Amino acid sequence: MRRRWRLGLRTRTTAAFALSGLLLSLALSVLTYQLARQSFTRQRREAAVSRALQRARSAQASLQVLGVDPVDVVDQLKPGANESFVIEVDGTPFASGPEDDRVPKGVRRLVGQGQAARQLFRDKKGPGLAMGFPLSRDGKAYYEVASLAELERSLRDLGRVLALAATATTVAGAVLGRISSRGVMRPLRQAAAAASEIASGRLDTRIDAARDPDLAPLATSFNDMAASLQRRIEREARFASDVSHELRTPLTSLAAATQILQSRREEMSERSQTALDVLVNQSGHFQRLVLDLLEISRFDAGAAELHRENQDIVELVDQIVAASSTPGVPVDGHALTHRVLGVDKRRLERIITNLVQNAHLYGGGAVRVGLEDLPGPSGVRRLHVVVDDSGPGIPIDERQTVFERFTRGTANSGRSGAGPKGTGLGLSLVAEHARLHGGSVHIEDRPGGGARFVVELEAVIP
Amino acid sequence: MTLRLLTIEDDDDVRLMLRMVLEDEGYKVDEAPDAESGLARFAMNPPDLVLVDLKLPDKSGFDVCRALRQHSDVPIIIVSAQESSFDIVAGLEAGADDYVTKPFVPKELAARIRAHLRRTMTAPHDASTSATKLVFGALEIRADEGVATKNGIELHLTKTEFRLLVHFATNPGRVYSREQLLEHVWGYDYLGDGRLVDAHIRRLRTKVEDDPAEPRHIATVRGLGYKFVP
Repeated sequence: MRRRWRLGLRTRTTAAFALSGLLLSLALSVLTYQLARQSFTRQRREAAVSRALQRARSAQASLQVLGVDPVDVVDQLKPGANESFVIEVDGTPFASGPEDDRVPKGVRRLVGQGQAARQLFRDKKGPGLAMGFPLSRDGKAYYEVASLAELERSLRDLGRVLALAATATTVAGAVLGRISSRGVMRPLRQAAAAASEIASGRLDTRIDAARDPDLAPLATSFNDMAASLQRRIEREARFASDVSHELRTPLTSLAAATQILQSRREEMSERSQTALDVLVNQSGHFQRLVLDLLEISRFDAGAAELHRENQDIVELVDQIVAASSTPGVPVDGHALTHRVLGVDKRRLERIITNLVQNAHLYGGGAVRVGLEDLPGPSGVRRLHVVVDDSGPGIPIDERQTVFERFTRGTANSGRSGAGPKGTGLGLSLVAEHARLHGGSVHIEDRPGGGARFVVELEAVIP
Repeated sequence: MTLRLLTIEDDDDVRLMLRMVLEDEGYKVDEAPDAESGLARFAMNPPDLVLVDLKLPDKSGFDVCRALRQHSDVPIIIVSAQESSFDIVAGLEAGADDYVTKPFVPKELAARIRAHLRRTMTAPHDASTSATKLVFGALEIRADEGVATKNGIELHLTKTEFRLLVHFATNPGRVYSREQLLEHVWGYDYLGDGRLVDAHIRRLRTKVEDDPAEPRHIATVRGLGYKFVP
């Protein structure tokens, strides 16, 4: 079977929503940022250029006055915040602020050639806009540097806000995806819950027809499936019950007729007696086989019910063993901490009788029936019923298959013909009875040789 | 005195074989193939015990039980091919004393019949050994006469119900497990069906108690069984 690692539907829906949110908000943010940056930069540049141009013009005008000190001209012109300028007269700079030459060489070169120039640049003080205007043909020039650090800071803040918004959108997308996938998953969860109800035996479980027309087909086909399953199971159970009734009645008259003949055995010829013995054996075997088959069919039809009653376990097992095919087998209940426990006594009787009978037929006879109880879930002890035999043991690869129906071992060579034959269903019934009791059965090696059948049952503490 | 049994069973072979087996056991056997003729035979010549199949052509075995119970305390054993809880409990609620599931071993049926007939015959003498007249408030039990009264009015108890009541009342306060009651009242071994006891306790309560939902005399001891509160 090909098996790929896959995320769950809900996780995938959530991820898809989150990813869409992320991509969408990322695209919007980038677009917003780019537009904002372009427009802010242009505005800032235009404002800076127009102010610088204004100052350059008034500097030009002032410098035309004869004998004016360039220092006074500089003092007259007030630079804005983040702006600084230099007026150069015959190669001597007169700066508005502290001596600080940030004007890039390219600007100076162009101004030196008599052209106005501007350039965006970045130096160790940050980004700036350098502008230069030649003021005369004789080497007077106006240079201004407007710092763009503040603009950059604003843009960075904007970027942060946008990134935050993108993150928030992504998270919101994920939450939305989670919520809407829950809506999508609800009918599936209902179907899953209904399916496990049906599996646990409540066959009449149905799911509500969904109000959403997209989901109605799911509910309809699920309910159709449940209905046909219920019909089939009920038909099978009815069939088993009908068969049971039809077989029981002839078996009853057969058993009665056999007994009537048996009580007149002495009046018969030897040949008739031999035939009668076969009849008695076979009708007994037939009866056991039918009873075992009926029991199996009740399990298959899900009609088997557990009737727990509080029992003195040691006393009950003593009585069961005493009535079994090997009544002398010792029952060892000294390890029991709870003697009285709630079990289905008929099923416990079937389990032990079948195991003892199995040991008798195939395992050289049971040598010990052991009982112990271990802690279980609240209010429950795990009752272990152990049947040891003195046979050759059971090979590991047969320890599962012996519990299958009509799997029969080879009877001990020592005893053939005498006594009742097995039906081939005993051990599978043991497994079914144990399962109904919330337990199981398995085979181990008995220390010292032979097989050990261990049945584990849930027994309720009274 | 030969004891007489009535078998109401629709299958001809089963009915014939039952009669032969029971005759081998020393009983006189009367038989009917359906409910109507069974009830008619019962009215004509009341037997000591009735065996009734649950599935009859005209009526169900439950109906036969209810009809018989209207004016008889005769022991009734249901012979059923059904093993479901529902049928067994319904049969007991309808008034049956015991049930046997087909296919049964004829000797086991014979043993059940013997247990019921022995009790019927000897119950008064058995009980008289411990007490002849027991009085608990409005309830009066005269074990030797096989009569129980409440406020002076005779209670219509079946033989099994009466036996169960006397068994309880002679040892008030003692807790009996279902197994002990099955053994003492029905003569079962350890594999008897506890539902027999539960159904009879319910029936007994409806007859003896003022409020069967709040029993004053026949108390349930959770996890252990039942006891009689004087």
